[in-house]
Parts: sequence; C-alpha cells; structure tokens
Amino acid sequence: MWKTILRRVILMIPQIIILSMFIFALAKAMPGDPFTGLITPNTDPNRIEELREEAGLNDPWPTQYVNWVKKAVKGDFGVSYVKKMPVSRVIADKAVNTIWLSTFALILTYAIALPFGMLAGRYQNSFFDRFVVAYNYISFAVPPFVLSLLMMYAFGYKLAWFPTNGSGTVGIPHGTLEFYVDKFQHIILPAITQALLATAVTIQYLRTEVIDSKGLDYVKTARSKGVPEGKVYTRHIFRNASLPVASTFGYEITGLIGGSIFIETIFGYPGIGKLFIDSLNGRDYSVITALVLILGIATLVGTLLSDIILSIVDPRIRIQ
Amino acid sequence: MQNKDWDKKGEIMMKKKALGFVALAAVLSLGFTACGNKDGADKSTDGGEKTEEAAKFPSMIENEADSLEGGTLKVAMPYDTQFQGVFSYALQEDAYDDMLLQPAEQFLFNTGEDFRYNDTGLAVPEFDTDNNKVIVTLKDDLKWSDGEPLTTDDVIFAYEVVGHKDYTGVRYDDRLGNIEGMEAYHAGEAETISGIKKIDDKVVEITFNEINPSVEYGSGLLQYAMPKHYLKDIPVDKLVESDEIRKNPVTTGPFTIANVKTGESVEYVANEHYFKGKPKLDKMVITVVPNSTVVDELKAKRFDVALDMPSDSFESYKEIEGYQNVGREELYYSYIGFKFGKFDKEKGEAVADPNAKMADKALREAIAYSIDTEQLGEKIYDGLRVPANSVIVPAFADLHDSELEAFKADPEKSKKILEKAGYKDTNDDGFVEDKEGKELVINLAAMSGGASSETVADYFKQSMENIGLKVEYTTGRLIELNSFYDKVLGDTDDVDMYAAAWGVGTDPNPAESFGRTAQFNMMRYTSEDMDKVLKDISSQKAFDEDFSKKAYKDFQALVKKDIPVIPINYNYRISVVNDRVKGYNYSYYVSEEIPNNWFGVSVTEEKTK
Repeated sequence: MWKTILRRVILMIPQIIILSMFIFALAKAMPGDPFTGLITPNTDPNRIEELREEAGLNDPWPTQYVNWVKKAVKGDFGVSYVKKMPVSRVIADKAVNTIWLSTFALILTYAIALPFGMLAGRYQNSFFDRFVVAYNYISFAVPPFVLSLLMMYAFGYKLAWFPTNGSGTVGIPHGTLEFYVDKFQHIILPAITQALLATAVTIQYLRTEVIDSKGLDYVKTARSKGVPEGKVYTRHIFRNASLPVASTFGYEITGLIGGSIFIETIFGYPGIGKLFIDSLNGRDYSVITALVLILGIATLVGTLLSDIILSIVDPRIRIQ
Repeated sequence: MQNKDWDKKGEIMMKKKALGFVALAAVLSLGFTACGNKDGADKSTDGGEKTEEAAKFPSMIENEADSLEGGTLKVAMPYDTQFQGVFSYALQEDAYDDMLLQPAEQFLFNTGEDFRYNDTGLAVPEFDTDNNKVIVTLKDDLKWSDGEPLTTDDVIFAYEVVGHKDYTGVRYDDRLGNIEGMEAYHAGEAETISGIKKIDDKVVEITFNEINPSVEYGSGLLQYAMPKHYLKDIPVDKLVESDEIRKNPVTTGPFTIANVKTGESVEYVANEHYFKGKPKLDKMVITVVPNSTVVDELKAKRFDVALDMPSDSFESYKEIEGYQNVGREELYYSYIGFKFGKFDKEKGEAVADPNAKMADKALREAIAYSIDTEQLGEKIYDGLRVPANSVIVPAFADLHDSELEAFKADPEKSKKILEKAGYKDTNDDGFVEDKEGKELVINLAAMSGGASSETVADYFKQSMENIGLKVEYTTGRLIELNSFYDKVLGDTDDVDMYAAAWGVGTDPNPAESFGRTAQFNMMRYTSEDMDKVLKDISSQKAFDEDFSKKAYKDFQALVKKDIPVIPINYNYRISVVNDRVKGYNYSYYVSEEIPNNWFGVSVTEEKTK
C-alpha cells in the first residue's frame, strides 16, 4: 500500500504543475491588475508604472510564471499586492480562522448526520424518519445565503444570543479563558449554519444504506446468532452503511482549509473563503495563485486520503 | 469591487486627511446610480436647480446633556472586505485604513473651509512664494504617543521615507519630486534631500523648484510626520509589513492604537500626550461591519456611530430609533464623459480626433439636455444626490460657480438641436442618422457593481433614445470595473461615451482630469482655451485670490460651453450617530480647539440608547 501511496504522490507533481500554470494564466487574463485601482489623480501615473515594473508585471506571463515558480518551490509566495504582507502570513492568518470554524462545523455535521441517518434508516417510515426526510429536503434545497441570513436574523438579532460579526472581540489577551470563550461565541452561529447545510448528503447515504442492509444475509446471520438488535445496527450495519460516507471524508478534510465563501462573507468571518473572493476582486495575484495551489494540493491529498480511509474501513478493498 | 477604488477619493484622503473618509466600494457603486423610473423621468421638474442647499444634513448633532467622563465609543465601519491595517499615512493606500488611522493621527496641517492648509494642526505653514519656499514651524511641546518629543527630524524623516528609492507605496509623486534635490534622493544619488533644511528642532524650510497655488492645498507637502526614533532602524521596504506600523504604531492623535484584530477591528485608548490634552473618552473601538447587516447592528444598539453608510440604501437607515443622521457633501461628482480621441503615449498627450463620433458639439449638447439629473437623485437615492452644475464641487465654496446653470432636462430642445445640426431620421427606424445620412449608433460604456448600476445606465440610454439617438452598451451589457477602465483608459474604439464618477480630492486644480498631458483626461479632450485656463489656474499669479477665482470661473464656463463631460450628480455621504454621543463632527473642517474629528467626542449615557 505504501508503494501505491508514493506513486500517487509522485503522480500529483505534474498535476500540480499543470494546475499552477492554468491558474497563473487565468489570473493574468483577468482585466486590470493590482495597481489598476491605485491609479488616481493624486497618484502619479509614472509612480504606478514604476511600481508595476518593479513587481515584474510588465514581463510576459511565462517569464513571470518561471520567476514565481522559482520562489514558490522555496515556500516563498511573494508579497500580497493588496495587503502588503508576505502571502504566507496573510494565508496563515486566515487559515487559522477557517480551520477553527470548519473543524467545529465538521464535528457538528457528523454529530447531527450520523444519528439522524442511522435512526431514520432503522425506524423507517416512523414519525422521526419523516421528520428527517423533510429536514433533509429543506436543508438540501435552501440556498446557503438564505439560511445564513435567517440564522443571523433569528439568533443574532432577534434573540441576540450570538455576536453577528467577525471572529472575535478586539483587545482580549491571547490565551486567556475569556479569549477562547469569545472565539467560541463567534464561531458557533456560522458553524451551526455550515453544519446544517452539510448534513443532507451524509444523512441520505446513511439512511439508504441502512434500509438496504436490513434484509441482507449478514444481518440475518447476526440476528440468528442472537446479537442484540442495538448491536446489529451499531456494529454490523453501521460499518457497511458508512462506506459511502467514509469515501467522502477525505474531501471533507480538504474542505476544512477551503472554508465557505457564503458563510464567511455573510457572517463577516475572516477566513480563507472570504480571502479568496477579496483577492479575486482586488486582483491580488500572488494570493490567488498561492491559494488555488494550496487548495488544489489539498484536493489531491483529499482524494488520496479518501482512498486510504476506504481501504481501512472496507477490508475488501485493497490498494494495489 | 472591494479594494478597487477607482475614485481618487481614497487617495486624496490619505494625502490630505482632514477630509475624512470615503468608502471605496460605495464610491464605485455610487459611480453609477440613478434612476430608471420611466414615469418619473418623463415628469421633468426644474432640473437646473441650484445646488446650494448644502445644509441638507447637519454635520454635527446637538446634544445638550452633560458628558460623562470616560466611556467606550463603539464605531461601525461598513465594509464588505477586511481592512488592510497599514497604520501610516505614508504607506497606506486605502481609504478604510485612512479612516482607521484618523483617531490616532493628528495632522501637521489641518485644512480650512477653503481646503487650504491652515495653522490649527501640529505645525504652522508659511508660504514664501517669492523664494519658492515653505517654512514649517512646529508648535511647542509636541510629543509622540510614547512620550518622545516630536521634532523637525520626524517631519523630515517622513520625506526621507516617501522619497526613498526602496519606498513601496504610492505617495511619491511628481509634486514631491518638485522639492529641490528630491529627484536625486529618490534615484538614490543623494544621501539627503537638499531642498529640506532643518533650521532647528522646531523649524524646517522646504524649497521647491517651482511653486504654484496647489502648494497651499498641500501639493508637495506631507501632512504628517513619522516617528524617527521608533522607525529608523527598519529598512524602508520592510516598513509596511512591520509590527511597528501594523500592530503598535506610535502616533500623534487624540487616541492611540492599543489592539488590532487584523482585518476586523481596532481598539484605541486615549492618548495622554495629545497636544490638546487627553480626550474625554477612555476608549474607542472601530469594527468592520458588512454593508448588508449594518442597519440591523444599529437597530440592535451595538454601535454608537456608523461611519460612511452605503449610499444606495438610504431608505433603510433614514430613520432608526435612537439615532440621527449627519451628512456632508462628498468631494465627488458623477458624470458622463465623451470620447474625443486617443492618448498618444509617444507624445505623452491626448490627441483629439476631429472625426470622432462625439466630436460634434451639437450631439453632446442634445444629450446633455436629454438627461434629468434631478430625477436621478430623487428617485433612486431618496435625495442623497443632487444635480451637479459644475465639475468643481460646491464644497470648494470660494471656487465653485454656483451661478452656472446646470443642463435642464428638455427633450424637445434636444430634438431641435439635433435637427438643426443635420441629424435626421432618413430610414424611418425611429432613430436619427448622422449628417451624412449614415446610421448613427452611439456606444455607451457603463460600469456594473452597484445596486442600481443597471437602472441608471438604462435611464441614460432611454433618455437618449427618447430624443432619437440610437444607443448601445459597449460589449452589450454593463462592464465590470477593471474592464471598464481598461477600455476607457485604453481608448478602445467601442466606447463613444461613458458614465463614471470622479473624486476631486482636496486640491481643486482640475489639471489631472482635463489637462492635455493628463492620463486621466479620459475624454482625450483638448482645446487651446482649456490649455490657457488651466495654465492660469496653476500659475504664480493665481496666488492672487481674485485672479484664481476668475480662472476657476472661466474653467467652469468652458466645460459648460464645450461639454467634454456632462456633470450629473453630487453626492451626500451619511454617518449615523446614536443619541448618547456628543460632539461628533462629520464635516471636513475642524476647529482650532478641536483639531481632530474624534477629539471632541464624548458620551452622555452609560449605554447605547
């Protein structure tokens, strides 16, 4: 299996190179550049041209690409044109926020989806099952921004249980208990929203699998051996029913880094998703390319992870 | 569109801070917004109304209650992106950073009602026009927020940073280059700037190669000092990312920056070293709030002040219980520009093409009379916008020609002008043909992005179609900001006219947007009359007030006569203030006693009402 993993990793290299070229070319093809927005009557056009030249933006894009790659392999993604900070610092800053939010949302997602899916499947056609199915339709159908705004309106303003903006209150010293409580308060509303939106697929998979598995031979065998009904579900059926869920788990981990553009924007939560949109709008090439590259790599790794997880959960699958 | 302020406002603010703030994003959307209401548009009212009702919104709210000692002021800054957090006028590039720095920085020079530098800041400027000199004298006992004395070394240090060859920002320009020896220093050929001479710890003398009236508005004079003792060991190209600028800046204002939550909020505490004494408030927090939720935040009483509210949703915050609105006229006008030619890069000047589609004045004039600018402001902006009569905004009270009549919507007049000039509909398609009888199609470039961009653009199009002109959008639809300026600045053939907005900055001199050699003369309009009047405005003679007034009047009359642009609207900017706040001044002007907009603010109750 290790060989396979290694081979997959090596295969990723050309994929990443192609991806990066693609992204680089597309980013450059966008109209305007980071200095377009700075050209104003009170800035000297010559000064802008000077800055553009210094930044190498007047070179043909293959030259720029090569220069960029030379640095990128050393981990230097340059300086953000808009934020005037090293790209790695800009991304690291926001990544922390996104990872907090996504991890929490992911835990919530499974905390909701696993019991819902299992129980709905087990007690098919019960009232609870119908509730879950209805919930699923709604949460799958509702556009993310609608739910976000509703949640914000209800819990942020009407009930005023949670703060509605940002990732924390300014001025609370790092590391204190107060700091983490404050952070948690800011995360909880967007995290619940994100979780509610994400549960549908998992619930649906689980529920269907459980229903399908109920009548299968191995379940009958377990029952006839006298395995208690509860255990039949938690041990035997769950393991098989969770296969499709496990296969997407790798991607979920990727999603931890990517963040959600909708949720971060609406809740004013400064994470990677928001950074991405802002950078696109600001033509912040250095950030865009670095982000896409990181997300691209994360996706490739996520695919690999999913395969590995699947092979662990399902002994019938062996990576050759 | 977040970071892209095409408008010059952001820039200007940085240069000349007293002005306060401008929301870039908002400006863009402002750029184009007006009304598409057909019915409304047809019922034309008195379009040529004067624009002097400047006191439409008060710039300060009276609050009779007694101030409390101390307290924390919570301020919302509506913005859909995160702020960059560069807390230095020399290094920042964005109006939001500027807004955030305002409580923490005191200008060396404030500006008076005429926008000229005056003596209410940390320093007194003296203009020695005969010798091309400006003498800057610091006031007594000035201190930085860390307690160190502020001297002329700090004043000079700012020039040395901005002029430095490794300087990364955009503040360096040919006006600074106009200081004697600056170019050599900028090129790295000189160690010091020969034209900047320290007389003693209080007095510094700045000599220019050539001086013109713009210097009184701050051209070539930095409005701020930089703490040399604190920053001198950081390489100039690393300053912008240093913690000394981003986390713990040393400043001169009534407050100092105590904590920064990058991109989200800034906490300020009172500065005991402020030259007018410690402010009444203990603390201030400015937080970024998305435009979409700022009204709800206010209704939930989470903020005392909301700065620069989005201007295309005035209705939603017109009346919020417990809050009042303050307003000021922005240094900005929206306009329609006509393309006359192209910019010749070799020659470095605009070259008008006499055969350009819009070269015929009759055509431009007909269009000018087809648009009802008053309806635009009333219908779409609930009166936040008023018709513009001139490209010198009314805020420049001594230069703005209030007598000048704005184009008053009169479609019949437009039609007559067209007919007289020989534009007739020869093929009965409902639209006129050009003078040679060929089909005439005018390409209008309009920008997307604002909530009402489309409505406004449609309104312009419709108004022109009403008088028989066939109009098509460049590219067939509205254009995204970057592409828009690629086209307009790049003089592409598919733009005959464009709708945009222009921030005029605090130096009224219009040379950057009308001069023959100005890249931002996007119309590429040139005329000898214009050359002459712009020369007058920039001449030494214009230090004489009457001469200067006359030159500006001539300029405005010339724009009205030649119609390179049609001024559309001026815009009011609104901030929302809670009833417990006292002394918040939203105007561009500060007084001798309260030389910083935030210094005089206090609260009269413990909690936001």
